Amino acid sequence: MVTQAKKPENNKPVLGLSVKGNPEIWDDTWVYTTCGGCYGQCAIRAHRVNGVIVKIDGDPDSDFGPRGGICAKGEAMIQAHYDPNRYNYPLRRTNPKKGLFEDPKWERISWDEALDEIAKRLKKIRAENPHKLLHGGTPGPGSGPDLPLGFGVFGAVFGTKNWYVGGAGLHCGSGSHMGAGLYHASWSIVPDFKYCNYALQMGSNKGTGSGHSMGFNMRLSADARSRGMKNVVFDPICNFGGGKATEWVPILPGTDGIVAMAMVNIILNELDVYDAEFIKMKTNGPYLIGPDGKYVRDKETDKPLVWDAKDNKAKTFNDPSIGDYAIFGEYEVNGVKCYPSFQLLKEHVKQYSPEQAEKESTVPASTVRRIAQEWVDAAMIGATIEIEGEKLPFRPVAAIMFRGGQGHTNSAHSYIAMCLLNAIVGAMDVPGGTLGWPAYVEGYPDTGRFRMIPYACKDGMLTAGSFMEHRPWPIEDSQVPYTTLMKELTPTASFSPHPVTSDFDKYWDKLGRPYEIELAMIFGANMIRSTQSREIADEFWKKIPFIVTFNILPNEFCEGYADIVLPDLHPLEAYCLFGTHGPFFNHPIGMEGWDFPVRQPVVQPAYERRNKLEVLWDLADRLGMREEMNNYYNVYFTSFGGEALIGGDIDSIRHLGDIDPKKVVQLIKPDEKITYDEMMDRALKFYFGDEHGLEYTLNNGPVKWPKKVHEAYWRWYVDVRIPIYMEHIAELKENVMKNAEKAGIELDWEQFTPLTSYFTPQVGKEISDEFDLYSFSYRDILHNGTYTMEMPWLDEVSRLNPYTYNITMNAAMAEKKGLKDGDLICLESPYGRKTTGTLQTMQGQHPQTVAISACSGAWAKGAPIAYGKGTNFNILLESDFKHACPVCWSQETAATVKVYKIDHRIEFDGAGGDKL
Amino acid sequence: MRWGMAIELKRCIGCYECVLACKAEHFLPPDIFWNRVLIGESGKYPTVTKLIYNVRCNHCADPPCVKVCPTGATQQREDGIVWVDEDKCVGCRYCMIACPYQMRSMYEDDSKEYFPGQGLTEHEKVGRELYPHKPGVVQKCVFCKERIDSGMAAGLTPGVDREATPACVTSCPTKAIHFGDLDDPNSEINRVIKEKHGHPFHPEFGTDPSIYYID
Repeated sequence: MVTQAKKPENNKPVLGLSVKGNPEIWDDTWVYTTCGGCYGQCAIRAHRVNGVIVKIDGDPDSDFGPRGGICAKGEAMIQAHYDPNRYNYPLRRTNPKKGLFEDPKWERISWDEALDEIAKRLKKIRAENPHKLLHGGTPGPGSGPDLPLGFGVFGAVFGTKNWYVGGAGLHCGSGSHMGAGLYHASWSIVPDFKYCNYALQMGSNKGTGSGHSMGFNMRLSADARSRGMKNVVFDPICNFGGGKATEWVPILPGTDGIVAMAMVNIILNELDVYDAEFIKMKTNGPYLIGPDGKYVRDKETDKPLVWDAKDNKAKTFNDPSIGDYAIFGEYEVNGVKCYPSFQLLKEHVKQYSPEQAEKESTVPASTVRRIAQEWVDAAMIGATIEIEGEKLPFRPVAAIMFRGGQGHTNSAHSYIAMCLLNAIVGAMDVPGGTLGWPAYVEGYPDTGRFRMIPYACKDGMLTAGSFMEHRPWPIEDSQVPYTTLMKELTPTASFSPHPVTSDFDKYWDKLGRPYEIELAMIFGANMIRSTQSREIADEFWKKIPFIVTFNILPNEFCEGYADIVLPDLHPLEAYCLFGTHGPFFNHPIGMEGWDFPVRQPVVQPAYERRNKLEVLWDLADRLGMREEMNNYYNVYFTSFGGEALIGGDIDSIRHLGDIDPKKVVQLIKPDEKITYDEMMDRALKFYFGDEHGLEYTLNNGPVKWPKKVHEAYWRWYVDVRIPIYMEHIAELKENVMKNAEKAGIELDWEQFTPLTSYFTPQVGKEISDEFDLYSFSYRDILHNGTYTMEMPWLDEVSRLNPYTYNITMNAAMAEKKGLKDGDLICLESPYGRKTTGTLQTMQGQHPQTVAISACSGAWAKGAPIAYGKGTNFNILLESDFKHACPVCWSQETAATVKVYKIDHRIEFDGAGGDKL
Repeated sequence: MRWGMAIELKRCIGCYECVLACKAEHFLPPDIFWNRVLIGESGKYPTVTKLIYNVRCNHCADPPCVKVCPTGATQQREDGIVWVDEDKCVGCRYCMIACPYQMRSMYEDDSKEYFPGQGLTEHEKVGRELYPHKPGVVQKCVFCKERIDSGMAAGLTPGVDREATPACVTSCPTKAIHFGDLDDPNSEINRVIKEKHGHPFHPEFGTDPSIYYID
């Protein structure tokens, strides 16, 4: 069902297209769909002329993106779609050897042959132990909700819990998702660009990078800059985030946390400023903490107790008779001495002086002090603003962090430290402050459906109406590991580097090796270049007996390790329901409207490419799983329809049996074998009414409606609190330690403390006289994942950009080391990992650092444009518990290196392509 | 009427979409760019500013390239757009030397493919039908004159209506580029230039460029 060709009217010129001469034009059609350049999924219109896609424009009428503009990645999608190197047919590996540079020697097979073989293996595994299936992948840019709706559902119904996604924080961060989930019921955070006056970024490229919500962030942050918003960017490099800052502050990787803590210290203890009302009403600041570091609880109800300063006695936190919450003082309750957690926090942060922060981070103490002062001045505690007739607190400051700031072994604490800056001035989900991606949706006005409301859960803490990957609150209990990811050990982890680690076998052995992974199904991913340490990854993937991948283009993982490759659809030829996993993932913030862009094919899929969801359903039929999957979809869609039947996280799928079937709307009948577009049509009609099915979007663009003020800025409209004292970590510690022992796992237990603290990251511990520089990578606006280097337009401009394909160093440091622009250099880690590239010196870079943008350095022979371009940074990283945050398991994404000249690109030795 | 641009440097994030929108719009061959993004730095560590400049032919009011062209291929329209008639151009490149901004490109080899050795893609083939490029001639930004002409014929306003506005302008995700009539004192572009102190690059070249930059 591809949009019919629209012929231009007779003798009328084609509009919005440069045409030379008078060629015959029989098709001049614009199609509403979503971009697949990154996982921002901006609403676009694709221009098709004479059956060929010629242009990508942002949808000028949609808030879900740049409103008419698009970034280069989106435009270049066209070339990926028409790349002659694409996978067009199912392929089978005939070379039994697997490895980094192995030639798969593909043999073309039929779909039936491919699916028969896969189904046969899956049946056997399911009968023996479904956990033997590992499924997942890194966030494929075009995948969108196919991730949970397709693979997530398939795996859960199949019965495996080995769901391996997200590159274990290499691309985003477990700390970010844990923290944003906990504090904002959201996947990440961004300044309220419309009203913010002072934004502080720590290792974040919001508005200048890529990823979810990139489109509207670009647009809104440009408006903010134009308006004069101050933007202080802490970053080791002055390129993207730093390049648009009003003040760039160089900082050593992994030390953002101590700068944040020092600022909190200055604000609370030197300036003595904080938003008392926010702390009393919206945090666990008043909750009483006993000598064991945990809440003092009411004996009858088990609810945490607070001290009512008016009545002078302890009461449960949500007792309606409370006159005034004490946030200071020493009290005796239930026979123990206890303190409000805010009191403890305020005392605790005194140890973080600006001088100490300077020593660790190299940010001058005077700068830390000055920015702390500017922060409170700009925060306007007590101010209000009126928006559409509603009076709201106005706190026009926002501190945000994404991958870079928390991509270290102190991930959880670094992120929480930064969140404290927002919490203590009340700048959370109020105008001008730090906003999560939308957590509060009342639903489409006519139907009341597509609803998601955050609410108070255990201990009065905020939890999301819907989420994914992990439930931000309440956290699960710790368990002895039984999946190969093992993250059930530490429920504060959202992603895990295991089992693709150098120490996994040690722990799995200790656990008695309950089973082995026999089959891996990986979609839209590059599990050997996009993840940490290809040497460690190679050891792991080589051992998996059978690997199936769904891909559009050849990559290093398919070539080196896949047994069967299935040709996926490019976003430009595919259906996909919504550009989102949920509004909390990438919907426009603040008063930007509600908007539901939907993906549909601009051209008919060519060759034998198939929609991966329909392929999974085909497999499900062969395994007798279709009915269960249909039931899951019904529950999933219904739960957005009014009742949060399920949390949206993968785990909740496994509790389908607990759900009252009367509450589930049967959009799909149990044994129906529908197509993806049929499912989309029914879901759209269910959410938005019968007149708003797929046909509607095809002709009119996305369903839209205005956002209400209390949806955009929900914080003071919902009675929820956030933990500025991480009591749950104190609760968790004992059991985690006990369970860890069963697996022989030793974590840095010091970090299991409820008071946000600074811990030197592993990278900082590995600095030495020999390995004296910190190397790191960062998002480049031109690239996403590892496939964008294959697009000729992006490759062309990357070659013109001074930094994208080069390794950068501070000019003075390079000179000190006898290096100059154009030198071929090698970066070597203390573990002997090596990567090479061309040096480009910069003024805008911290002298103790070496930087590589994106993750280039492709070696797949099937992707000739990308081959050899740029540098693969991930080679330098380690993958084990030592290099992961113990609390949230985010990876250490920086590595110490020594730098020297080299005569050739050593990491390509044996790759088999052109000599580099 | 004199078409011009004003580019707000604060808004620009260096995403290169202006470059690629133009490449897509005109099916430009490999290694040919009609506009570019120049990246640089100003200052010394730690006080550094990143510089991002999107540059293209300035469609100067006093263009030296027109003066030097021996065949009259390079010419200027009434509305100020400077363009090259590829049927008249003999590829002498005098204009390339004359242009002080170095904004012209010589297109030589029409056998170059975007995927070398793998033939022309469907996309490249349709490009050769819709917007063919003659090899051996000089080419450059034409302010999307075809869009402007067809748009105006349909009653649309360049700089206001998307279909009549240059592709780089409409494709910019931060709306950094304004397009309009510099001769109209009431135009939006003149307002922006006045209010935000727009200035052309290298005014000392004396060519009276039509592209202004706003710091």
